[in-house]
Amino acid sequence: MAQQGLTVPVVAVVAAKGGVGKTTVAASLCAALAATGLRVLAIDLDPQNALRLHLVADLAGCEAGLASALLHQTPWPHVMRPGRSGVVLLPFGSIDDEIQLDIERYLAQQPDWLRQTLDSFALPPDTLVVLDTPPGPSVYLQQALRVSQLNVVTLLPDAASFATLPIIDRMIGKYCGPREDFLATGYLVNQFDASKRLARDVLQALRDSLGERLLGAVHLDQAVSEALASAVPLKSYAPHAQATHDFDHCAQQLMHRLGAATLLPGTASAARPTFPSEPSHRA
Amino acid sequence: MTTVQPPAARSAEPKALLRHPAARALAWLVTLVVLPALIVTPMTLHQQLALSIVILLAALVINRLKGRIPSLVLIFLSVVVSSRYVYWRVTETMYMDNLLDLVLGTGLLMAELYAFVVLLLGYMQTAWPLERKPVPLPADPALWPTIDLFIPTYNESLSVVRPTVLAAQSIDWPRDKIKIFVLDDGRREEFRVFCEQVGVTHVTRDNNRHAKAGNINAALKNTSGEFVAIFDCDHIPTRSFMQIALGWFGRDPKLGMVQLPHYFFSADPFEKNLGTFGTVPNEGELFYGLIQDGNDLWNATFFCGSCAVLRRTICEEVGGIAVETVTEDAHTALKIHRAGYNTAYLALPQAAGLATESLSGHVGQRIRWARGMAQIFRVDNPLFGRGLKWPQRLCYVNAMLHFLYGLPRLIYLTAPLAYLLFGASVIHASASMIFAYALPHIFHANLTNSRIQGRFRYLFWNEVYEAVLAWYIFRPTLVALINPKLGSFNVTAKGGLIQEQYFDTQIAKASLFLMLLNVVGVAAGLWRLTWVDPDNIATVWLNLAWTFYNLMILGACVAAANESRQVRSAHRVELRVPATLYFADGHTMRCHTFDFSSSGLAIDLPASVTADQAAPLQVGLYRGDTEHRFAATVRFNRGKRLGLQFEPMDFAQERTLVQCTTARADIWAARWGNHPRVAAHRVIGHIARISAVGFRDMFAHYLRAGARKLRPAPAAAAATAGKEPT
Repeated sequence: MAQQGLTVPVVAVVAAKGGVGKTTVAASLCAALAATGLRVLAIDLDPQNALRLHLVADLAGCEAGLASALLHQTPWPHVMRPGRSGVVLLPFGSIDDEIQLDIERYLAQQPDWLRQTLDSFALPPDTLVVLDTPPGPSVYLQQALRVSQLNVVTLLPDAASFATLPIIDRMIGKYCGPREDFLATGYLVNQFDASKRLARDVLQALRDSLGERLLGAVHLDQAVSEALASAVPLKSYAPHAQATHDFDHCAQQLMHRLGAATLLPGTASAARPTFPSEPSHRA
Repeated sequence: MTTVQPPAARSAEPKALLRHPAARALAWLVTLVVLPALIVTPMTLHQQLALSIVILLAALVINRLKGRIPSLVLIFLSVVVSSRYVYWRVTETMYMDNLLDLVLGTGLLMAELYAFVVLLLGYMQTAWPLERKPVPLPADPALWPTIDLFIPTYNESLSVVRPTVLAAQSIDWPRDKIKIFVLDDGRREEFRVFCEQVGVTHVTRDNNRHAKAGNINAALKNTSGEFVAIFDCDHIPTRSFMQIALGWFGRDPKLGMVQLPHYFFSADPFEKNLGTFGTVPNEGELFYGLIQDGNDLWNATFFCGSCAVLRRTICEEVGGIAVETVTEDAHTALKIHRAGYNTAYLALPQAAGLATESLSGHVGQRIRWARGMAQIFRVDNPLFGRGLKWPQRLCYVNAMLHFLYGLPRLIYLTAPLAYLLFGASVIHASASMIFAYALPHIFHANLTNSRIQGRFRYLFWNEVYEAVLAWYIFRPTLVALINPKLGSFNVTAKGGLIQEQYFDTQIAKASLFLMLLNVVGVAAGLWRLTWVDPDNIATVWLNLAWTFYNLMILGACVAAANESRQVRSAHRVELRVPATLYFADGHTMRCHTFDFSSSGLAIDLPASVTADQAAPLQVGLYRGDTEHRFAATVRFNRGKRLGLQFEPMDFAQERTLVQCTTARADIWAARWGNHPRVAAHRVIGHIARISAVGFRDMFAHYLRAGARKLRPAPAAAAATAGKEPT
């Protein structure tokens, strides 16, 4: 089993429990990272196939995705969708529940499937891969944690998030800990409401216990859900919203931890992503 | 000269090289042999010019080097050149052949000797600022001492005192070891109720004897904390104040007082009226940035009445706060030093307050300081008496001499007129000799001071600050020197409201009179240039140039008297920090504050919003990473500027607000003493522009006044006058 590091950094967005806005966080981070001039490949590892709602205008094109490519039904270039904000999306695809079980069985047998697949893409060096994963332990999370250099653990400033943190930390320790190319885990508090005493206290407790590992807090903001409903990226829907600012801040923190200087190409903003396996626009 | 001596044993930065016996021997050789020789050797014009150029070039080369040793060398060169000038002035230029020349000439010489002494003492005082760092307290707070925190007040409104009390309650110190006392000499019911509600002690006495000093002394008798911290009622302390200030007391049992700087987050009248807030170091910055730090080396830090901590035993041993003079603070420090105790200065802004509102208030405050210092000079002269070391004596003397600048400054502002108007020759020397001696003296003094003071005081600004005050402090200091018992304590008015932009003719009167004299002098000079005085063209030009310089300074003084209007009753302070707006519909906006007061905030928005007047919203302010939200309503919505008024708050919220806005050492410390050095020609250009505005304002004012008198319909005239921009 090849364990050498990938040529491009991989960020896994993970969560211990559902409903913390992880997919929103993944999409917003993708947009914020792409705005800095990086090429961003967003891979949806969640069978809910929801990342497309945030990143792609043309939803119909996301029926075929990672799942069908994995099953060799569609070539990889054909399932990549050019998304908004300069992000390229590899959707999970909409699939039947029995096929999903087959895929999960396959992934359980091929622990390095994602690593090998990413290797086969031969991505250019100024690319960043962002993985969206389903909440809680799953084969998808295992796959993601076997390749990620950096994890973004999404949580809410509430008791449940606090209590379920050890689950995700255990998995990270198991799959990322031994890897030499693994850098760090960052924590992102989503839907922070400073008017709630509990939220403030939880955030403070997290600050105290996590220190530098806390990437930042994203404010609860009506604009986030409205942007999703209007199928417009948050950054264009509400460029001055506090949540937009917070995501930018978290993305900067991420870049900082990745050692952004080595990532950014000299003329970053000039060139928009042109992937080697440029997806044809319509199959 | 003491300038090349090594720093005292207390120095934080001992230089082994300077302590070497050979270095000491060399220093004494230079001081006793070379220096006198350089000063007294008579020279012809050409020799003097050659010497001046050599020293000047040496100074310019040395000035390119960084560090303190080159500064000391520059001080040495400046002392040589200025001493040479003064020696020449006294010995060669005072052969007067008529009484007028002798009287005016002696006057000018006295002013110059005064300036020379102050220059020398200033060099000594600021040669090697100590830059003391705070000392940590014991790790266990149980070992920390008890503190009584005094907030004396007399007639200031509760809205001014409130934030100070609330901020004092937030100071990070064991709750059972700090007690807060509001010393209310106004004996106001409103204050008593507030103190009771918020949980601090309201202290009154049955008389107002000895004003603030008496107020504090009365409270000292009824309290028992090991340390006494004193804050003027509008100096808002930060949470970290005590932990920064108290450390040194643990290290030095003979330490009687620790002083921290007074920082003002609002513009003083000079800054407000001249538009120099944040761009030109203000009047106080030199004192707190450099002079106090320089004093500290000589163990001569002065107590400044606020933002300071006293050790109770020592304070009581010297009889409490001194009551003999109107500057009780400086006098108390003098007594502490005389008793053999130490004081310390920490150049870290840990409290901030409002600057005096109007120029007249500012002048009143300076008059009090000047009078008090002159009083101490008379009743407890630091040159004499027991207990002081010589450097301490000299630091005190310089502080007192400084406030005697009134008369010398007036002499400088009128000296060239002696020749231009009366043909009086106040310096008996040729213009070329004056050039050869005086120019190097002026140049070196400015070069050296600009190097030492550059971050805290720009060149020539000194002259503006002093010229405004000269006339007003000249009389009280003279009176106090003659009879120190005359004169009363006047409280500095703060938080007032300037209703209308107006030209303070009362305060500007002296400047206007001097200006008129100088304009007449210019006319006389031009007249002399034509056919009257063909033999002395160079002298005429010399005096004319001096007069023009004086006019420039006076123009700036007049500009300072043009009071700009203050829009709202609560004092507004400019402050740009991140903030978040929360609209009622759940939307948010990242923005920055523009300014704030106790009642509201103005916000700079990245994009305009639709928010109606009186619309409720919330604003999030940050202290470090922690965010606090405050309910507010929209007062105005103008493009990208939103005015918010806070909803009524409870004490806890108000305390939090103070912590998010005024009690922010992190912001003040970053601003303070960090002015970029500015080249002399830029400073002159800036003052000249301000001066031009001063002339314009003055003419506009008198034109309006004249028009009002001429026009029969007063209503119409008043209406136009009110609208006219100045």
